[in-house]
Amino acid sequence: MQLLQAKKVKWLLLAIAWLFIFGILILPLALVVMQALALGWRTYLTTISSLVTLQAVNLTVAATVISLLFNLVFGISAAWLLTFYDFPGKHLLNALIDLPFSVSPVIVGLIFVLTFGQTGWLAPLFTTIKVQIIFAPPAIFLTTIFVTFPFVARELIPVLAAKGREEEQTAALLGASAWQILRQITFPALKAPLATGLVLATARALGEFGAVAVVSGSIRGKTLTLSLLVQTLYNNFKFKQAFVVATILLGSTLAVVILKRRLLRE
Amino acid sequence: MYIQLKDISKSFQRRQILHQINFGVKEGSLTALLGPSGSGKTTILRILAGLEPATSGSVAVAGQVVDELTPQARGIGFVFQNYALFRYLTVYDNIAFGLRTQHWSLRQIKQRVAELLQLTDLTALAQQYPEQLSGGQKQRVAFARAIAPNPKVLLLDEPFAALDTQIRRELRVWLKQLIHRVGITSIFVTHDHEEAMETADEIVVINQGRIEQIGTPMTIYNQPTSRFVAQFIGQSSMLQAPHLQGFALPAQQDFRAYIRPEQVQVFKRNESQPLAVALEQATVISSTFSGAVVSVKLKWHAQTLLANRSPAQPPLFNGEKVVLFIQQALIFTTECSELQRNQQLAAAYAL
Repeated sequence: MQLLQAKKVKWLLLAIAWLFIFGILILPLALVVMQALALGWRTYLTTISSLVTLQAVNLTVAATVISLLFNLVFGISAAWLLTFYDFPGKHLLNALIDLPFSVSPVIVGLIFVLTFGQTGWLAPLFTTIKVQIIFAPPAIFLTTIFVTFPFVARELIPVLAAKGREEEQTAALLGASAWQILRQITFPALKAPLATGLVLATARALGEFGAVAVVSGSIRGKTLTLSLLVQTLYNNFKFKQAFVVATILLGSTLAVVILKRRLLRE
Repeated sequence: MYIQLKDISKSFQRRQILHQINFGVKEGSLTALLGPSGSGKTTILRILAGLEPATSGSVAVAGQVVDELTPQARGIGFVFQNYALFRYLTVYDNIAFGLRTQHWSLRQIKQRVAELLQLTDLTALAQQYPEQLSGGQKQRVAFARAIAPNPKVLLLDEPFAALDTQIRRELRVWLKQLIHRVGITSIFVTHDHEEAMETADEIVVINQGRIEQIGTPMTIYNQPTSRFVAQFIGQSSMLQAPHLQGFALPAQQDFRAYIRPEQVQVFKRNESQPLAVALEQATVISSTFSGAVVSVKLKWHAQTLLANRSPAQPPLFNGEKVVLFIQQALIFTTECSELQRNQQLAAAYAL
């Protein structure tokens, strides 16, 4: 009797899980793909290969790659610093790392406009050196870096803290150089959290909308990211094209997740 | 002395952890640093290995001052409490790690690792990963890895703390034999006095960052020179100025006596006693059977006294009036400590 009940519970939970995943995830995603292909392959391919779409792909890829590089350097340094060193202001720094998670993306955009915009605080400097930040790609890079920077650090800190330094110290006592220790001892242990952090950051960078929308100015063929392009198309009643562009985002996100699993042999 | 620590002091965040530590270790010997947790014993080990700098003082190994050397250059093998095995390397590669960093030839590496695998009885596990090993196996891997590149000195931090009681016993004996066979000068840290007694050639007792006493296990156990050592090492009853018959007691009245339970013989009133000596009266508070011995807690002249009794002897009851004989006591005055045998014993044996 007890066993039977346990089995019933299991089936119930399984049903809830699948129903939820189907309703929330699979069904809408399938609908996006179906809508995108509704006008046939030819329209799909023309939309995808149009100049505006290609520009958006370029800009999105550039923003993602740049923010990943920043994340890698900043995330590893911050995690290392917070795990292994004591210094005044440690708790403050630790709390500040999470700030981008807690600030609304629209506010983030506004902060950058206030700092770098035409009437912004740093405006005189950038006007003198004739570099435009707001309503230009640099603003998109900056905001993407801002909204993604906690990911790698937050994944690494608990792993580094749990790991301790004793394996590294043992390696040093066995004569290993700093580089050998990093490559042979530390890196293998950090591979998984690092990959998770990077995947999360990539997904966020690809999909960031709010903060980027404020600073981009949505200039067609110039400052549209894929997410912004989807919205622009949708607002202009080009629903099918909007779905076509959406499939690019969907596909790349899936590709990143699959790539991560492959690399880590999960 | 093969290892010599001279006036080692260490402060951390304005708190002094070590106060002028001085001691030496003979070549090929096994020394225990024994003390309660927080006494600074692990810090001494870490300073020796170069993992932490001393605030002042100097360390010499094999006649060479090593203060300025990095851990890499010191030639010291180290076994951490949790072993710190490289979790992404096999047992074989763990042991080979130090040989590869020191550019041994492939043939030499193979030969040395095979030799160590055999020595530590791990040959069958060479291709396993650390997470597949038991605690005792992990410890043996850590040991093999540490001694692989033939270090001058082996340091072990609480090497048995993470193991079950039974395995701990076995490994203690195993490690002691192995260290003496390999002939490597070794220091290990422990908070367990039995472990130190059974394993070490010499014991350095540390308390609150200071050395309390240095000596062989025998000396440390029988002739503690400080009250801390007398209480920390093994069990004893501490008595305030007891009136001990058969001992030369000091003139002043504020002395203390430390008495080991195995030095107190307890008898039922109707039991026959092996020695013709004067016995003292006492009352049983409790008696606890723990396998090999029965621990008896006695009330004697309004003070508590512990005694051991054989389980083969008839059991004692709480509140029972008994007689006892104290064979040996450690008499402490403010100036000195003295281990005394009951003088009646000599007289009794002479008969």
